[in-house]
Amino acid sequence: MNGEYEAIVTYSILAAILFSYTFNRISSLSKLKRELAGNPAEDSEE
Amino acid sequence: MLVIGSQLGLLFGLGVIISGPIWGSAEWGVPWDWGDVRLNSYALLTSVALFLVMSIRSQPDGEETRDTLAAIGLFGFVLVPVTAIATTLWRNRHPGVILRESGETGVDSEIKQLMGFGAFSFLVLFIGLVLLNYSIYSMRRELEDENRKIDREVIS
Repeated sequence: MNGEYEAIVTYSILAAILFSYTFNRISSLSKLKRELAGNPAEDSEE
Repeated sequence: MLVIGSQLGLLFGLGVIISGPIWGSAEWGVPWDWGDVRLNSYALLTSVALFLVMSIRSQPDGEETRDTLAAIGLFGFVLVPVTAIATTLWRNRHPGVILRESGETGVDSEIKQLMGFGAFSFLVLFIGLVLLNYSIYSMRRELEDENRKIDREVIS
């Protein structure tokens, strides 16, 4: 092994961090959009 | 902008702080070197970002809090050039600038292209996240204004 295992672990961690943060931000944005449109009922269903 | 900057600084900083030691163990044989200036100044920079994110979330918003956090943010800003030139001034574990072509340094053109693609992708991601966060904070402000307006109408 020439660091393949380390590379897989490293990139998986990086991808997990970046994806979870981006997903969190996008959900916040869509929630705010719904609230601003005056339709917060959909939020409580989630 | 301080809120967005500290959040993204922490996100990208943690990415480096977590992945760096894994790579270091494989390549250098040690995960961390307390004598390497770049490693430690970068860790300090990420700690500043962590401190700012936690303070913004826990402290009441006000002029004094904002002034204090802005001053700490400036300290983090000073650490950026220190980290950037650390490998030129104090070479220990990290090599010096390797992208410059010379007798001792230089990178294969294929690796250079790959690095350029990686740097460009991260730049696009960073700009996208800044814009996304900016929309979120603008909308939050708009929503607070609307709520305040409704409260005023109800009271009067």
